[in-house]
Amino acid sequence: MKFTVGWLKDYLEFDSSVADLCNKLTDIGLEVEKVSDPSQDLKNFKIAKILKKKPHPNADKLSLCDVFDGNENFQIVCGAKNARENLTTVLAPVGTIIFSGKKNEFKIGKSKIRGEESNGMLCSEEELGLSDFSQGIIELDENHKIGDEYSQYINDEDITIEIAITPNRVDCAGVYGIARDLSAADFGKLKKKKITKIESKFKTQIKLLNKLKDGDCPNFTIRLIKNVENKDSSSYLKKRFNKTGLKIISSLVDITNFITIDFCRPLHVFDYDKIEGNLIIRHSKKGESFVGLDDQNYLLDDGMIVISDDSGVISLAGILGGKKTACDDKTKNVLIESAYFLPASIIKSGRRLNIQSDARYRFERGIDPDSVDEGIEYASDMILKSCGGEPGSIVKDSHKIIEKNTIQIKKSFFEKVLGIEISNQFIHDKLNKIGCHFSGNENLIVTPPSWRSDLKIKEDLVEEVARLYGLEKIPSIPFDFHTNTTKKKTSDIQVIRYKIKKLLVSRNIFEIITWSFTDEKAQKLFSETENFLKITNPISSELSCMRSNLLPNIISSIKKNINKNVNNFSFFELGPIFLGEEPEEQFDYICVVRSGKVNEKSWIDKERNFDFFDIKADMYSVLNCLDMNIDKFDIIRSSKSYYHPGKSGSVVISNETVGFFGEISPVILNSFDLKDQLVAFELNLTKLLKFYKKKEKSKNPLIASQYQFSKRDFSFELDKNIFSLEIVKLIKNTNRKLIKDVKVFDSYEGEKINEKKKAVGFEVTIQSNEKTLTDNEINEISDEIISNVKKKYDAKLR
Amino acid sequence: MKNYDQLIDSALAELESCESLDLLESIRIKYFGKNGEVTSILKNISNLSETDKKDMGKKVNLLKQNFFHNLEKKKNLIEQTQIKEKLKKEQIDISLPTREVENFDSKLHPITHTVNEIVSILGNMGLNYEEGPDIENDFYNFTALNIPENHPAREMHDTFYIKNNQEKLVLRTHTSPVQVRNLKKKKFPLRIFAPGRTYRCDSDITHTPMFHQVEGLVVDHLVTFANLKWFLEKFCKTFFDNEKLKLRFRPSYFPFTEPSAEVDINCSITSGKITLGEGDKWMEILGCGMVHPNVLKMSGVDDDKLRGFAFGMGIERLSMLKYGMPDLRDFYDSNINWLSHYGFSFLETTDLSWR
Repeated sequence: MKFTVGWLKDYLEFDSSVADLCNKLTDIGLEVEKVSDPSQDLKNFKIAKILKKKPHPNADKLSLCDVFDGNENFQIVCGAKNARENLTTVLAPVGTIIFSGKKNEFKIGKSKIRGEESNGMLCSEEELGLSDFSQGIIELDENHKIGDEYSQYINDEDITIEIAITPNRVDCAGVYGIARDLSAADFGKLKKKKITKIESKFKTQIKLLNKLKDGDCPNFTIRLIKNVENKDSSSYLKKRFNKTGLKIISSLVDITNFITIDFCRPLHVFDYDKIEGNLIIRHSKKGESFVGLDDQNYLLDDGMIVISDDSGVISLAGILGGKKTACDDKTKNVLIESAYFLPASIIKSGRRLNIQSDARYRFERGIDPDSVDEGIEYASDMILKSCGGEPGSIVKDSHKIIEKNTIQIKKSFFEKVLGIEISNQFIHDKLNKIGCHFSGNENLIVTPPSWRSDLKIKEDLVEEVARLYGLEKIPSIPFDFHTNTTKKKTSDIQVIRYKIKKLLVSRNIFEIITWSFTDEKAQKLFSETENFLKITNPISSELSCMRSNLLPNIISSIKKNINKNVNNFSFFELGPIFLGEEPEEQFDYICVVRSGKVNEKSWIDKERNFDFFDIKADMYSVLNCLDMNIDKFDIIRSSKSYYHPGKSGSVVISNETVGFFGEISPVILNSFDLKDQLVAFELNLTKLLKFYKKKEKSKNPLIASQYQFSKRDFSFELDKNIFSLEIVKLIKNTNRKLIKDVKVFDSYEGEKINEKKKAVGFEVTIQSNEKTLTDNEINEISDEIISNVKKKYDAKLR
Repeated sequence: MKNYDQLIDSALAELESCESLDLLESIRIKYFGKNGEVTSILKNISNLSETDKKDMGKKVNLLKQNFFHNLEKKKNLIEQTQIKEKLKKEQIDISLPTREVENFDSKLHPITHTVNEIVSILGNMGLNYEEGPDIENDFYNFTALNIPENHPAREMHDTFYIKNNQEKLVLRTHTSPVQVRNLKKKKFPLRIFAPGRTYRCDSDITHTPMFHQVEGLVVDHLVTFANLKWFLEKFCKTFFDNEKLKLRFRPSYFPFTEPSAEVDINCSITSGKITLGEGDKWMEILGCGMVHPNVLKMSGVDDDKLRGFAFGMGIERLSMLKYGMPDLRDFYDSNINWLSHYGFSFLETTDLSWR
């Protein structure tokens, strides 16, 4: 909502500065978004007069002006059409900055334009920042003294303020409403709006039928004014329109637009002679069409409020007027419409047709239903004054309007909500000033004014009193939170997520956060189904479905960095994936991808790619940090198709697969156009956490044997497809009491051995907690190990 | 005897002048070896008289002690000199770079760090960390928060919808649905906060289609707006680590609170640089208010007995104001240079309420 200070002063008497005004507006909830006070930027501009004008010898569109600035004369090259002899205008002398502080800011220099000297610039309103668009240079009257600084002549009509209106405060979508609210906050004195009742000279002859008076349109009122002359609007109205960004059309239309902004009372004017037959207010039928004032053809649905004549729809009520019955400069007889439409129906049709208009904005937020008559009188008065004519009678088809809402509130309730006592006197004064009627003292019965449909419940009244009291003045009062400070505030998964993030960063992996949506095409590479959750209205086709896997986004991120010539790094993301629409189908996943080489061009270490065992180590570090016994997890060869089939696996616990790891398949790398090898793991944290059991606070006693341990090495020749982990488990199970550790120290495949076989070396640590074992005892265990492995895996001891 | 005294002098002198371990050993053998000079004297000791024998025994023992003490000293000295000599030759270029596994110092994403700070502060202020799903139904995201079907506020949320056949599903436009989910549990007093991903169909310099919010909700018997002011002042001063920080509460509008306010913090802006806690410019950081009775009612909570306050803020915005990232979009660009620069080491954490 944009207005000039002068416009506000039509309704509010005050002496305070613009800065104070802005502070007050913000304090009462009408947040100031922009103030434009040109006097600050216009200090160097001067009033000057064009003494003589002749054509530019080398350019048709330019002229040479002899300009007098009160002190001396000089030549200026000017391109404005309206430059003429004896015109008083505004001069930017050499050295002045135009568009100060804006992107297109520039400094006026002494220059030659097409061979002719130019000593400054004659300015338009736009160049002075006085309006957004203007034609030609400024024309000033004799009251402007040649040589004066132009900033002296800046007045309240040049200063604009733009405020943000929250959806509940449509009463302030009119200048009068803003003045009313400021005066309620004791900022200035409200000049009550006086609307003259116009005596009718004849009976308005038109048949009006409001079919919706018991529903969407409780009140529809019209008046005919005959023999008007639809001239240009007055210069004062034009200036306000210019300042506030309203489009100037014709006097009749401008008047309705003016009243919309001035009084928050949208109106419409029809050219009476273009209406055919009767005027009917009804719901539209599907398939009807309508051409708006914006020249667009709209196809209507069932149930929109329309105004029609015998020929069809001529206006989309409360949203947009029609082209067919629009007023133009030939309009002689004008029919003014002032009505009240229910907000919900305006919202529905406005949204469906996607039309934004000042009228819709106000109607859908709920204007004052009692302003219908005031609106028509206000418009009549203005039309008669600027276009002449004779007023007809007012015709209406309306329902007795809605009974008034009353609110009961105890005086003590204000303190209960706000935390401080507010005096009866203050409460009464403010309720009064915002237009409420009330009775009672400790128990108030309040009737809000017709223009405040947002005041429905007692909390709304508390807000009114609070904002006018000043939120700043409400003290900060500590609240007792002690009852809840000793309990734990976080759940296991929240703690574990953070722990894992820290762990992975400590392993030199960067954390990234990517969109929850992804590219459908990329996701197909990582999924067996194509049943993704799709977004109805995605921001782009690359972000059209919810991710069901973290890999596509992470690999795209890797690709982006590689494109910038950054190589050899690792990324992880810990976040949600979506396998369905239910909350239970959202899972927390952790995914790590390492890319490229471990030591590129190192002076000290050998260069190699990140490999399967690097990523396996990363994954184990995560499993370890969950306080879960690694032995509980099984590694299975079966994995996902986007991994290398021979260099990947899945992690299983209690028959449930919780993750995958390995080298990313070259097929995937190709489709991302990646040359560097990638290794990755992904774990379903939500699933994993089902198996998580929190450790007791108190730790088990430390059992460390005092006695000597022995180490024995075994090398077995095994079938290639036997997992070394199987052997480790078997050896451990041979004697769980005495075998303390089994380590794989070698794994060999190659020429020295049958091609279907491999040789694996195990180092076994044997120790008793009770005594030093004898050689015999150790040998017994060794023999048992050898025979177990031989038996179960058809292995040979080497 | 005279002979023997000379022997002592020469043995000790030889030790003194010796400079190698080999020589040292040969000196030992010369005097104390099987056929050493002192050994041979001892061999002949039986020929002496009892008194001489005793006298001689004492002398030899003294010599032995003296000799071996000096020998040990000399040995140490020579060994040390030798080590020093050896080490002198083993010089490396100590200016060579360290052994690095990778080229980068990896970091936590600033959102993770900022959320962690928020969790620590709000946790210590007595609020529980709660979460909710990203895909919400229309009821939890709007209706239950007093935003009915035709409310103008729905247009202010550019909502993403999920394609499906039955109920209307949205990507939550704010973290506020978590309020509803917790109100419905009806365990009071309720004190929670909920950080998380949120989505709006908007993408420009100051908007990303996904961003993060944190929501706070306190519902109890005697909660007032004055308590809300205190709570947020305490939070902001702690978060920005700035005791001088001023807060401005401006009346505003949210469908789910009444009265509602927006909160600004003061700052100065000189040549593009924002300094918080000084100056008279205001920077909006959060929205808050007293929970609207309709929100309580809709979750089946008795709004006569219980009252609450709620607040919500953008995590990226908090992060940018505190740490100075200039552009919101960079948060989701995964640019390693940006992550390196604006990210946080895992050591830079405040872990107060992580238990």
